[in-house]
Amino acid sequence: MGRAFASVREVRTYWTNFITQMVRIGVESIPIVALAAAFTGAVLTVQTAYQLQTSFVPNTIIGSIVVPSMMLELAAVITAFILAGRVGARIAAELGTMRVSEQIDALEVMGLNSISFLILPRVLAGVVMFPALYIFACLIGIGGGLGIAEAAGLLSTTEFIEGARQFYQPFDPYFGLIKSITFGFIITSIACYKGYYTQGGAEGVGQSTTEAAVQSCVFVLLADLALAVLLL
Amino acid sequence: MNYSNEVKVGLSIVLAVVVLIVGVRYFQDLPILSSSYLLTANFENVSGLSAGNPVRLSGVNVGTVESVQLQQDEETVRVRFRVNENVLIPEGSMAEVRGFSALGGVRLGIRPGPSSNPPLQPGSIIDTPSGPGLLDQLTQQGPEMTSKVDSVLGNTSRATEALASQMEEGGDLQQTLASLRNVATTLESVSGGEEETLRSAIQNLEALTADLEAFTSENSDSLGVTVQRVNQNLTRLEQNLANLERTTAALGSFAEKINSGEGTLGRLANDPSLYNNLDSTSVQMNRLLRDLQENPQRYLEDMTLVRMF
Amino acid sequence: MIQIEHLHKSFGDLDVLEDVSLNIHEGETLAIIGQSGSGKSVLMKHIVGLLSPDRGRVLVDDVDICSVPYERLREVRKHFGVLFQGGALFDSMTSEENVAFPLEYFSSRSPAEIKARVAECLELVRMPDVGPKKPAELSGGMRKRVALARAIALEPKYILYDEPTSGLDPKTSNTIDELIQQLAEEMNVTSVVVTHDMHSVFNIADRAAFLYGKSLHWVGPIDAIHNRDDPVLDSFVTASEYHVGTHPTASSPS
Repeated sequence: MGRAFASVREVRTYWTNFITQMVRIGVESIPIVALAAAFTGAVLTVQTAYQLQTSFVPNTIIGSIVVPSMMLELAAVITAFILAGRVGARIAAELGTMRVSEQIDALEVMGLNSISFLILPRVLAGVVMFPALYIFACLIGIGGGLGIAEAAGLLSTTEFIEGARQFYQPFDPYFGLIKSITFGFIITSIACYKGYYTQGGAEGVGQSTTEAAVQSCVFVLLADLALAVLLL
Repeated sequence: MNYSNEVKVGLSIVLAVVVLIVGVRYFQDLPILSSSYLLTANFENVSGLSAGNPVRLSGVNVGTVESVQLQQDEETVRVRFRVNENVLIPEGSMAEVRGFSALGGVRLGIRPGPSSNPPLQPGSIIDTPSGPGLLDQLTQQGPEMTSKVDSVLGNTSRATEALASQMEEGGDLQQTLASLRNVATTLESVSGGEEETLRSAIQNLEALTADLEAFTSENSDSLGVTVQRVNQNLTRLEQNLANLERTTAALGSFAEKINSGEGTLGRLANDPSLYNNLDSTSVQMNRLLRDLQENPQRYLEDMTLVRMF
Repeated sequence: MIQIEHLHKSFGDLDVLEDVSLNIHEGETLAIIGQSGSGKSVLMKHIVGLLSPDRGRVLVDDVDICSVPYERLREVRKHFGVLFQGGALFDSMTSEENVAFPLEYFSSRSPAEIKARVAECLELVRMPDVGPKKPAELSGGMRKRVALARAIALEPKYILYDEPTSGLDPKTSNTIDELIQQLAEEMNVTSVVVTHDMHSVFNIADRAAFLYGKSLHWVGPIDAIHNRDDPVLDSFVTASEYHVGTHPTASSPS
């Protein structure tokens, strides 16, 4: 009976942990991801329009290029790069500090499984929140493209959407989702690994943080290529 | 504090899911709120149709293809597609693949059946036109048509050659010209007789082009018929040319016979004795007339004799 | 009863412990002493299974914690309270939450009972007012005391102290020593104190184990530590006495 109470409380603590990590990894990253996505979409639209301006290709093609580019590649990869810095470094520094200040040992000694207590909620939160961030990045990126197209008089919203629909593949957004789930897993797990196995004080924490950010970016690129080759 | 976190996370996730669903439907050009129902069609060939291609009824997007599966044991392709709830497709409608995949525009077209029929129920199977797909019909008959055009061209060239050899074979220029004129006349009469056919062939060709155009803009379903018509016309053209060739050949041998002096006309044309006879006859006639002028009495006796009667 | 049998441990090429055997009896306070880098903290980490030996074994209440499955090890660890060198308080939580943390996980107490127990523990370490403060707002000595409150929250059978007085002023050191004694008497716990502070050792320990040159050099009752026949021990003890309570923070080799 008592044990049951304790495990209910344990589940609740895990849940709280998980929610907290989702807020830190996901919700708090929305503004920066939105900003980056909006600018990427706008720049992509302006540059595509510039490249096509002297040809006889219809304006709608701009929409056909911008929308799938955002969905297939840019939204997911830009989100991943931003979060490799924002989330990856944060997780590595946090866990690294816990390691060098013996907080991880303290957890272990209390009889907690520190891996499931510290790493699981972070990786899970990454896997859940990355797709959500990807979706927002798509929405805002395409919105940014539309906005600049209308504002700079490059093409009308109707043309943009028509072009996007013309070559729309229903798999596109799902491919992006698969990418973002993979990236979420890669970034959070690399950061957790680097942080959890930090050695040697403040310097070690710094090293883990750098390694987490750099290696997540490299693995994101590799995974991006692998997924493109395997799934397209 | 905890609850506010949960609210934030929950809101974000719900918002993301809503954006995903709405966005996907928006880019697929589907109505965002209403739901859809599933229909199935079995094709022998889908010409590159794939999941996500639009379904169109009278040129309007009414749904999307959900899956395309090859049923190897039945040698058919099962296409499952979704149609918007508010679009009712009457029984007896036909589903067909339209457009070229090379142009990125393959779609599933629905030819509506009589609107008085009850609508198809969700999950039911919609009919498909039998026989191979239009594009394949065109492709299959391609070689056949090419060989026909080829033989027509061969015949034309043989006919021209015969004409040319006719021209080259010396003989009397006049005769050659005469025979040439004859040939031309025959040719004229031949083409005169077949003028209608040729015109209709050209018209059919025009119609074919128009149909092709319409086909590309996805409206034509008569390409098959047109292809057959073109075939028939080519056959007829071939026959005409064969006739022409035979006529030319006959003319050729005719002219040859005239040249070699065979037959009455030939002898007439070729025997100088006739001319000589005629010539001597006219000389004698001249002499007789002169004699008559000089010695009319000699002949007048006879004339008196005649008068006696 | 904790039995350490023929323990060997090396990190890479560096041998840290060689053939260490030691018994820790119920209810006693044992001090593990030695110079910085002599492997004291490494030995302590073996006792709770944070490190596993290359050879030898550690028995806690006759359970070989070096070979049991992880889940069983977690059960054994619940009998331990550990006071780490820097306190190792979770810095995302307040002092109260830190002390309540093990209670929430491993006790069947109701929230009200937990609250009461937290107050009791903080009272015991004479820090009743720091509940809502975060570790960063506390001084080193206060942090150690809150950490001690957390270590005793579940009423452990064994308490391990890793350098409890290092980096503290003499007065605070004395307070910590008093707490260790008080806990040993009131709760009848078995205490293992890893330290190089001889002043503290004389205050609290029943027995001492002297680690020197990778192995256990001397084990005996605290009264016998002034052993003039053993120059190594003697020089360590005398040298320490000049620096009572003012040692700079020493880092352990691990």
